[in-house]
Amino acid sequence: MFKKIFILFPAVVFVLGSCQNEPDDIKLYDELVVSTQYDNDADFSAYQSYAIATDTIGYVSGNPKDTIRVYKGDFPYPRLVINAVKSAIGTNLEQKNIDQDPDVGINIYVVSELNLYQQVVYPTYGYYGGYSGYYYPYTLTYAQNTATLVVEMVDLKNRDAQNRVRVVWSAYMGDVISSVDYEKQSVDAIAQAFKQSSYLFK
Amino acid sequence: MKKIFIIALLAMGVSAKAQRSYIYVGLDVSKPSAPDFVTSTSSSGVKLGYRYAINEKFSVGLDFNRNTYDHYEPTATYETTSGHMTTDYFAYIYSFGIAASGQYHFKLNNDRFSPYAGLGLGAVHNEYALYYNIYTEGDEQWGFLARPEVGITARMGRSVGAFLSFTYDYTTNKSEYFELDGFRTAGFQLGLLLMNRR
Repeated sequence: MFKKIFILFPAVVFVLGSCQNEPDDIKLYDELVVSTQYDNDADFSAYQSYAIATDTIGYVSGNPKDTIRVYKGDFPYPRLVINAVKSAIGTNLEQKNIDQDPDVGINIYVVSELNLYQQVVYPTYGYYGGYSGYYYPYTLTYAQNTATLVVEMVDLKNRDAQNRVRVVWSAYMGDVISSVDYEKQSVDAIAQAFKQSSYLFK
Repeated sequence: MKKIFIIALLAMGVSAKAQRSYIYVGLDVSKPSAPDFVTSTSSSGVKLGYRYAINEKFSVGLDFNRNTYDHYEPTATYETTSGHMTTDYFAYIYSFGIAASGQYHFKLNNDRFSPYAGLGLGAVHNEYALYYNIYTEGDEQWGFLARPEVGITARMGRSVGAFLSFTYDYTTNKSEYFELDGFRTAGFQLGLLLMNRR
């Protein structure tokens, strides 16, 4: 009997070990992680105006036929986040239409079912093709069921020889799907993204 | 080698009649003193093991322990290689230790109580985890363990007893990923023991 009990001891330890404590979900998900990157070569003081879409944000998923989300009465999210960006920019930049030759374009999109985290940690600043409007990237990379809100600032003044434009600032905010209140947390996260990027409007 | 072992046992006064052993299980409450990756006291740890009395003064044993340490860091903004990140986070260390130990028992007039001092040597496996929102980063490492211990056992019946011990765990666990070097904890253990008396 004594030996049997002793033999069971290591098993008991491992069983106890498998019951690992983890953080409380509510506490984990009550704020979005806000990660911002900037292009060291960008001269943010040279930007005086911006353009931003009205009531439409991009939606990046595995379906290339489903690429935008538009404001509706029962889906105010696009307008909420657009207004949050406009509020954060305030009077630092003049808002223009895309055909009025703004200095920067603001892209807002949600990346769904794609874990952007690796990109957040190891960002690469690429070029977009000819910028004739609000451009939302498409990806074929899949991961877990997540949604990351992305706000990008695209330099429209300094196009390269192939008329490509460069992303000079990005904010990644996630995870939207797991959030306790995704609308409020998205708005708060956008405010934080600009707050921690004070170099934008010096 | 075998001769040396037998001689050593004889030198310690081994007596077949004196042989007895016990298994124990107890609550392990410990607090890390380093590193500051985690700060909380582990109040739900467990320690269990086996002790074999070579004679009235010396015993040897095998100890297992399992503890979880954590820390919550409120929301703050951190500088990264190309920007900034704002988040709160939880840091955890899930620790599992195994040690071979030896104890010296102090003689009392009362044979119900047996105070002792000992030393355990073994290994500790630490699993480090960082949780922020849905994201997790982790690392795990083995390290060497040295564990000085003082304690007392109390016999409450023919085969049942209780124990209280105080330990200090010095480990060499490192995590290059989290830039952590060394892991130390101090704690006490309180529990029951089941004796196998002969």
